[in-house]
Amino acid sequence: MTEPITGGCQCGAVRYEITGPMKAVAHCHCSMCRKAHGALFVSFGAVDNSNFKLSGEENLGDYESSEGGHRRFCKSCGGQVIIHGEALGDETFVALGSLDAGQTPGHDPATETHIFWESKVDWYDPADGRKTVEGYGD
Amino acid sequence: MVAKPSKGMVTDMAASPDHPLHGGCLCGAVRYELSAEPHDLYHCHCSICRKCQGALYPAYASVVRSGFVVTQGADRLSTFDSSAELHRHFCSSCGSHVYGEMEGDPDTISFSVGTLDDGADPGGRQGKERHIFWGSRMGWYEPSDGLPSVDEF
Repeated sequence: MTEPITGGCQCGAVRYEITGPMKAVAHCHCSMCRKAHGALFVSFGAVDNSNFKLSGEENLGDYESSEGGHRRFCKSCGGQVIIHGEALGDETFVALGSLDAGQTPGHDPATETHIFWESKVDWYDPADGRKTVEGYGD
Repeated sequence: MVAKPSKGMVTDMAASPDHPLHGGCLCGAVRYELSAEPHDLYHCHCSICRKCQGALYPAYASVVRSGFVVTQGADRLSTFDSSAELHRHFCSSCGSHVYGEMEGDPDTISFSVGTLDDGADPGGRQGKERHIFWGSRMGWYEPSDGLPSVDEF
C-alpha cells in the first residue's frame, strides 16, 4: 500500500493519515466504548505511532477513561477519533468509523476479532463470523 | 442471535424491558431517563453518523419527546448541526453523542442506544429494527444479523 489511509472527524477540524496497513482490527463491546461512541460496539485499527500523522490536534478533547488511555474526540463535532497514551505504548487505536469513505484498514482479516464479547449487549449480535474473545483474549 | 419473541408470545407486543430506563455519556456528566418505549430503531451506516461517532454503524432509537428527559448535565452538552435540520448533542467532557433532534419533528428525540446503562434493550424494536443508508456502509465490513436494510431512511 503506497497511498496513505485517511480519515478524520465529521466537521473536518481533525484529520489523520496512516502510512502502511493497520496491524490488527478489533471490534470492542466493552461498556466504555459503547458509551463513548453511543454505539453497540466500536471498531478500532491498531497502528504504530510512527506511521500515524495527526493534524488539528488542538481541536481534540481528551477523556482519560482508564489510566494512560486517552480517548480523543473533536471538540466541535464530538467525533471520536483515536485512543492513545502511555497504556497503549507505541500504538494508536484509530476509531474506524472515522475513516474516509472508501478507505479500508488494509489489515490481515485473520487478525480481526470481537473483544470484550462478554460485555456485548444481549439483544444484538452482528453475526459476522469473526472470532470472539473475552477481554483482549490473552 | 437477535432476540425473537418466543412461541406463544403475543407477537404484536414488543419484547421490551420495563421502562423507565436510564443512560448517559461515558464520563457520567450527562444523564437521561427514558420513560417511554421507542417507536423506531435503526442502525445507521451513513458517513455522517460514522464520523460523528467513530463507529461503523451507530444505532439510534426514536421516542416521543416527553419520554426522554435529560436529568443531569444539560449544560455540559455541546451541539453539532450536521445539517440545517439535524442537531446532535454530545458531552463536551467525553464526546459521547447522546441524542439528536430534527427540525420539523419537534415531538421526537432520537438517542444513541449505546448510551443506555448496562446495554439495556430500549424496546420498540419489533418489526422496525433495520439498517439504514446501507449503500454507504464500509466495504470491508458487513454484519449478517438478518435485519432488513434500506438505502435511505
